[in-house]
Amino acid sequence: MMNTEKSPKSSGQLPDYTIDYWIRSSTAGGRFQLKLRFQAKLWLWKAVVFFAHGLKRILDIAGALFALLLASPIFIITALLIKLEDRGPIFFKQTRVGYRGKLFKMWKFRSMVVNADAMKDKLQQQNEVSGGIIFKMKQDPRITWIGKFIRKYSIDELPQFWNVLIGDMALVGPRPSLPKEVAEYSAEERQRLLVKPGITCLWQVSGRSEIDFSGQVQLDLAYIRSSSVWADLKLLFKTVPAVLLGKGAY
Amino acid sequence: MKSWHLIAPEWAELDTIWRSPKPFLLWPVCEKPLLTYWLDEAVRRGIPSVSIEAVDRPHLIRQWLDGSALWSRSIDIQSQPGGGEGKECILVTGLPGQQGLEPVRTAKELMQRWYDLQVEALRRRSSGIIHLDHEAKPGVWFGPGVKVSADVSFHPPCWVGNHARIETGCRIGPHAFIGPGVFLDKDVEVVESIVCAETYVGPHITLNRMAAQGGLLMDFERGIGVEVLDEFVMASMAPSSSTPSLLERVAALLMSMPLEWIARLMNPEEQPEENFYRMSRSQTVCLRTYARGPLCVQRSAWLQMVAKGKMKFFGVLPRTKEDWGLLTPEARSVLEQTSAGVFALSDLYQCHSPKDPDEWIHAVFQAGSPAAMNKKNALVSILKIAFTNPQRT
Repeated sequence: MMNTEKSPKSSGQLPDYTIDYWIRSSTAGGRFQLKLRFQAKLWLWKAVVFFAHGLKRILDIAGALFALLLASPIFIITALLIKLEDRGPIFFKQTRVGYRGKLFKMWKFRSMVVNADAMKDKLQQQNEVSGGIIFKMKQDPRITWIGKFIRKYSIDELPQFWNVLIGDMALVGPRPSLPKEVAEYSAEERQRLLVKPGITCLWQVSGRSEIDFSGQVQLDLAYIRSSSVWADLKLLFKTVPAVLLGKGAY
Repeated sequence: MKSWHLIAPEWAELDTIWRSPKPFLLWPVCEKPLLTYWLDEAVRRGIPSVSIEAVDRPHLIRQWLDGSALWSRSIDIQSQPGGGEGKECILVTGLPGQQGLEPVRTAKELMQRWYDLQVEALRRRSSGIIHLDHEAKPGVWFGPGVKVSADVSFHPPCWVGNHARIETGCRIGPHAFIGPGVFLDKDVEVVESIVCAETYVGPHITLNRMAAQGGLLMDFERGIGVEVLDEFVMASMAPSSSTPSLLERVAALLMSMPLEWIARLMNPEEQPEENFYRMSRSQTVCLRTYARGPLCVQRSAWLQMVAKGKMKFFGVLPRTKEDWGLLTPEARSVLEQTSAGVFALSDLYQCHSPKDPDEWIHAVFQAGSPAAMNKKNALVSILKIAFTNPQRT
């Protein structure tokens, strides 16, 4: 891919094909040909960019619609069970940080007691995730009975397909962070905000909550560097067994 | 830890070569704007709050920071000098920690400073810090999604932004800065030069101590800028903000014929007034305006330009060469970046022509306010404006 040889231009001589090119560009016919060539290249490049970005969005919309339809019976049953357990709200929406720091409301099934946020401050000392930015506990007293089940199988995350459908999130991407978590980010860690957050990412299928925060950031950045529609599809297929086995979820 | 008071340099008047749509603080330095380096540094040092004093286009800095939680610090933007009492005042003329920088006095020096910042930013990169870009070989950095054909030579140090494409026979570096989404065609040489984001550089072009942005070529040595009109030599690949959507174009096409027919009926004896309007640096169009009828009838011929993709339904009023000459440099620089429209916010305030002394105030407000330009508000404004019946536009 790379060489370090000196080019003919640098040595002061123009190769014949360069001279031919500029002669051609000085005639009306030649200019027309070159303009056509430029337009063709431009459209080809736009198609490549579309396949890199647009196809991902199409995949997101199709995947989210499919998941919302397929999971609709689970939605109804879960909603009923949550309502029956403590009569509180079915959904829980939380402000998260999205693409390039844009704030959005992320939807989840409520898996914790109604005043969970107020209780969190008292439980900070028992945080089990190293680094202190993310808060997680294996035996979190705020989680409801039905909440334990829906969290284990990630059913609580299903409403996020709605966020995917409206464009706040993607199917695959780093998990969206809370604003106060982002407040603690270093300049390097903030780079994970340079793509749309997603429902699943590399660290979700590589051990989920068992990976510490710096490990999560490393995996997120590795994903961003190598992201492609094909890589997304592979990650989505890997997510299914990880979710069904409840690997690393608590 | 003392709060920071960042003072943006007032270099807009020196920017005669690029005439950048952005203030110096938002000029790209490798993969991010200059201001990002300072805000990152503030977070790194635990600075509790940052205030930015920017006289030059503060609304763009505000827009850039708006709605984001990227820095999680209290960031205040002020457009008036002062307010740095009790804070560490810093004049942002370079990257954080750069010492002994000479003040910029000329357009040529400003271009040179911009180039020097890229060199310094690249020099500071080390593999120890996690970057989204990866170091393909020592001193050669690639962003994600870069595509390089065979037989391309890289001479460190150089940086290639994400999703750039480099074709066969190119020679990149030393000190080459290729922005995101750039397309370098066959046999291009980039030496000690900057290619801004989404720029196409045609085959067999050599850039040596130059910057290329869209169709604009800037020479650091001579301190001049040249507009390249042949798109196969150099062109912008960014989707134009002045291009109307397909829906707008179809609607304009359907509406233009019946409205123009009504216009002719309402103006049986008078010929429409014809004027040449400058829509961008290189595009001038001739627009016909009828004297009588509601605005949508008077400007019915303008709809043809929407259908042709040369202006939008809602934007700022198009200006003749003389109208542009009446504007202050600041207003001109803001309005040059805003698409012209058949209907404008100023129409709501009974200013139907750029010759109206208050029109430019509404136009500048419209250009700087994303809320005024969003689709819903634009549609409401159009419905309010289209059927008003002014004497003459």
